[in-house]
Amino acid sequence: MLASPPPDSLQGQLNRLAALGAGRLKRWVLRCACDRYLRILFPAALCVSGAILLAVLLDAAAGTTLWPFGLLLTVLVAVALPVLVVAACVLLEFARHRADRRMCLALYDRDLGLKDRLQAADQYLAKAQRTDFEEAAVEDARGHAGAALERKLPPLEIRPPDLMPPHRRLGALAAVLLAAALWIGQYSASQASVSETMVAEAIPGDLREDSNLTQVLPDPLRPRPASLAARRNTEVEVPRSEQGSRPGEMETREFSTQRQSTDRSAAGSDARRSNQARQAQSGASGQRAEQQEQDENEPRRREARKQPPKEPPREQPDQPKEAAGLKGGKGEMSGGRMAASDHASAQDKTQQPEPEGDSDYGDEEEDEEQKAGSASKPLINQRKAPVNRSLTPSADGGEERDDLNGRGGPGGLKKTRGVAAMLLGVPLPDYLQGKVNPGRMKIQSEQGRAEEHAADAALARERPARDAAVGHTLHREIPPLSRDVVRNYFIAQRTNGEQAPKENE
Amino acid sequence: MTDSNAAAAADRARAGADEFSEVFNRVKSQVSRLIVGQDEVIDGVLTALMCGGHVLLEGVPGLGKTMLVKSLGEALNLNFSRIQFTPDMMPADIQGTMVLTETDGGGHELTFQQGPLIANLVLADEINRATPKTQSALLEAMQERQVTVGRRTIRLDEPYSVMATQNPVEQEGTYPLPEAQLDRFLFKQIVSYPKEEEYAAILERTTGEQEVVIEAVADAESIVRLRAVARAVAVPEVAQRHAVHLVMGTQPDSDYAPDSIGAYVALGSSPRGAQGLILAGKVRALLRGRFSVSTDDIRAVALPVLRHRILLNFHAQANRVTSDLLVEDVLQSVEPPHTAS
Repeated sequence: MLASPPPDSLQGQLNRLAALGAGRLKRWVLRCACDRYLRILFPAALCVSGAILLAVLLDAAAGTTLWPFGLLLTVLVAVALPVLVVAACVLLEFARHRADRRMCLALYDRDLGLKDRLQAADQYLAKAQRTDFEEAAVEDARGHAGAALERKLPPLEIRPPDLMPPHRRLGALAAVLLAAALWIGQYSASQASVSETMVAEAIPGDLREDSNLTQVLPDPLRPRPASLAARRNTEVEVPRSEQGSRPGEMETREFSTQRQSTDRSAAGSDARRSNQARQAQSGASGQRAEQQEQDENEPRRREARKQPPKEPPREQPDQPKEAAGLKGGKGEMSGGRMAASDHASAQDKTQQPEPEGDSDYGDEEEDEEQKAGSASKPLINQRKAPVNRSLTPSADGGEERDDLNGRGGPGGLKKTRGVAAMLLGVPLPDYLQGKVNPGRMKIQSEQGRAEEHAADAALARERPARDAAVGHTLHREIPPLSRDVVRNYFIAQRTNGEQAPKENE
Repeated sequence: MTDSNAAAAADRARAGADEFSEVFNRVKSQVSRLIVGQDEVIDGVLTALMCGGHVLLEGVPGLGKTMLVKSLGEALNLNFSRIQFTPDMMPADIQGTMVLTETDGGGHELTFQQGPLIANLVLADEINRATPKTQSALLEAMQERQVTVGRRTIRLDEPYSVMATQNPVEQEGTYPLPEAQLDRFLFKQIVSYPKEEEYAAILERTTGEQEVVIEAVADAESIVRLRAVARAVAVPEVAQRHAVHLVMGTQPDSDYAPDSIGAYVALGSSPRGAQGLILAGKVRALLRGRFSVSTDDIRAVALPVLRHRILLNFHAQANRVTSDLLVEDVLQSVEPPHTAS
């Protein structure tokens, strides 16, 4: 273990100065971190308030309980959460900071004008062999280190927290959002209590206790256990065990409903997963895989056939059923199937309509898409046959159809995806806007007869001597090659006032 | 190292530093007898001489550039030569050449006639009037301290220093110095017009009856000794890093370069710039009674050391951005290590 240097030695003095400097530096770092992270306080408050407002709005709209806290707790969360985040960031910054010894000494060098003497001496003292000038520098620093220890330096300067007007505006906006959330929460609660009271008064007393009625009523009108129990005390005496069992029943029912929806979504996600797996395959292997999958799905199909068939969409008998149009209307480019494209007309003749039981998972997807208002199959709701997506009129000169524009239906809006939607439905002539290139200058020479002119050349001896200054003569001329470059550069600089591009770019 | 040894070493360093300061100030006072004002230029020339570097003096005619160098040669009692560069000057005119001389017996022989480049202090007047071929003949002498003519290589005596002058106005018929040669000058000093109060002293000294005589207050040996003293000055890590950062700050695409460097500089300083900063910083520290270079010394000499090492691009010339402005910008953006907040 190394012995600590005596306090009056230069090494000891430098150690004390470094410790003092480290303290100053840490305080400065803490204040800097506060300054820096105070700027995120208001944006964080805005985020929290926005989230609370969103939760309250969802509560009011859907009757859920995303934000179950009361007024006091809401205000507490909206204020305390941003403050906690800022405090955590400040503490993290402070904990990560490591004060360098040279940096601590540099503070004294800078503030006392010591010209790096303390830093240099600290470096030279660590060396085993010192040169003459290094020894002289150490000796020189000795007196300055003692003087520096006697001086008390003020804390490092730092600007006050710079809460810019945008930050303050964010804070005001957060307060507005929070107030809105509180008001909406209060308003929806009062509305719920009013409707609850109306329902409670409208329903006869013996019916109120009917559990079936409770389940039939919509959620906002459904009597709540606490409030109903309060009224029950005044109107009807109900056994305590019955009171306790009713909320339990509701919970069980909700749980079973959730479980059913979870099962359905799980089945849907399984179907989607298998669909994605099929999409990953292609070509012949894809067809083989589809065949194999069909074999595997045979029991499921049989089950589906046992169930009563869904009502098929009404179709006009004179229009051929386009299985590819129905399937490919989604624009899928699945591995085994052909997507909706200009090959659809070829498929019209060859492809047979698929049995209904074959689309066990496809039906679910179609239902979902219809519910979601997807534009991929616009004609199902209109009870029309799927459109022909061919871009060219049929060769046999059939009747002209207005939906023959490759967009998946009549009208200008695109209703399909895939290759057909990427092709232009309306043939456009090749047309380029712009100015025609003038091309090379053409010189036409015309035949003409030369005219004679009288020459009036002066004799050299009759020329007078120069009696005035020659005037300003230009220096070296710019080469013709770079003349236009220089001219354009200065014109661009003076007219646009823009920064010229870098030369090396 | 024991305390007594340490004290003796410190005394030796102190004695060397004292001698350095004394000689420096004596030479400066002698030169100042003839040159009025221009303290910064005189300091720069003397600093370059003590560092073993060369100086490029730039200024309009009539500001005493040639007189300054000539008086410096007289004050130092050095072998001084002057070359007036012209466009038709050839390398052999400054390096020397073989000439046919007549011997005592009536015969002839080829002997080497040395040129004006072989001296201690060379004044290359209007160096930008010489062709690049002749300018390049200076390169070997400035960097290697030797002159090669044919199969003969001549070692130049120390101290050896080239003080070149150039006129920034008369650009017609001049050949700008190539970057390789500019880089070999430790300092580029701008000689400006004297101040109003200095004119009276100039007129008095140059138009009076008495002619100012410069006394030799040092010699070649003392200059060589003082050069060794200057090179022995300690350089702490903080000053070294700051010099490196400043030099890198002049290089485009460097982490330390400000935006103006990226926009206006085609070529930044080479490592010779960092060498120059450290050497000149050592002399400055000695002159201010310190035994260790500080970052302030480095920053103080940055302008004359770096201004001619920055090659401006076309945009800088079009926007009239000078290298001095860019060096100032680098000094503002690059702070000393440990104190950068």
